[in-house]
Amino acid sequence: MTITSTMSDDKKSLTIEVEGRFDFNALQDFRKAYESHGKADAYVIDLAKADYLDSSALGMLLALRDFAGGDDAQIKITNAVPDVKKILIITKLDELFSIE
Amino acid sequence: MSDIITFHRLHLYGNLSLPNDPLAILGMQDAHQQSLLVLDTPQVDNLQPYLVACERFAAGVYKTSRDIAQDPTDLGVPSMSLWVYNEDKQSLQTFGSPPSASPFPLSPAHDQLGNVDIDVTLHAEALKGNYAVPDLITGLVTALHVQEKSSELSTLVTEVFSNAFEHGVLGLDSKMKSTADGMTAYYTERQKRLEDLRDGFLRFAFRYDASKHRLYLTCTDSGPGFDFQKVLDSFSTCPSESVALFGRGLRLVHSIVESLEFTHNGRCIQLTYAL
Repeated sequence: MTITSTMSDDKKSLTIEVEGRFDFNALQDFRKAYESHGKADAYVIDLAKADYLDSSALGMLLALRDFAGGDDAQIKITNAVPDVKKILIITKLDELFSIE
Repeated sequence: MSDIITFHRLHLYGNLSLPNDPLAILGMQDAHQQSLLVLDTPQVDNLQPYLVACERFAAGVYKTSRDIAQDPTDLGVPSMSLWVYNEDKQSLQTFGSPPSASPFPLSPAHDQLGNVDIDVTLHAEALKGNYAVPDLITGLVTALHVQEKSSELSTLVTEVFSNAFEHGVLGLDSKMKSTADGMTAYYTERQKRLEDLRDGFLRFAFRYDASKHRLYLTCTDSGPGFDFQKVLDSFSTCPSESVALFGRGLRLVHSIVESLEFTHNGRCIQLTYAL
């Protein structure tokens, strides 16, 4: 599991990439990926290389949503593989995040 | 042959039935001091995961339901010998003491396919190793020959395990996970209680019914149980747009399976999954 975060040049958008299993072992790294940058205007969670996601990862995504402003948060989840996307949809996270 | 007490013949990637996996030996009901395992593996490229599972069994890391029935408090590790051969009677690996003589030829009674469902009990030592869940998932996917279902099977085993282990065995309360800091505190406490764990267990049983294409999963934990009716009710009443940071594991399982039931005051969960 590897997590990397990249701030855009205009400092407005933070992209977080998750690679491997996205589960409770990722908690500290995932929090650090956004908390260390302060609040950005928008977030992109790139799951192209995440092959599995469990319910604790869903909790982590919702914790980021709180950090980013709750209902006003601008968070896109991109490139999720079909199995991962299915879990996001089954658990209705597609109603709380923009999933592309 | 007289010194061989138990015998297992396993086809890997053969017919669709659960005994086609070395993990099945982990659940054999009659574990004895010496066992012979013959692997029929014409289509298997990499035997290593199976041999590793065999090693964990021989070392007593996994226990059988009989171990528990005899003495639920006995956490001692019995050592047993397990001899693994291929169909050509070549020895693949020996765990424990080597056989005193060649186990071949086999008596006619032994020379047939075994028929054991997977039934594994995870005690503290296996739980601390963090390999039980991946072992079970690999075993199931391989045994059932359903690579395309590996994600759903991973979800079922992982979520059922997390709930039974964290709430049942370790006694952690999900409500701790109401905030990001709470989540961190929860998983720090999880690690601490896992390191301190001495007794407590989880038992996983899987049975596949080929005629019905159904997998039956039962997981029992050593905890005190819980108010499961509240959880069952929440599946139909909770608002779908809930932003709570916890409470999605069993909901996820519920949406994948055909049926989900709790018994024994919530200590036991039973699932039916269509393959």
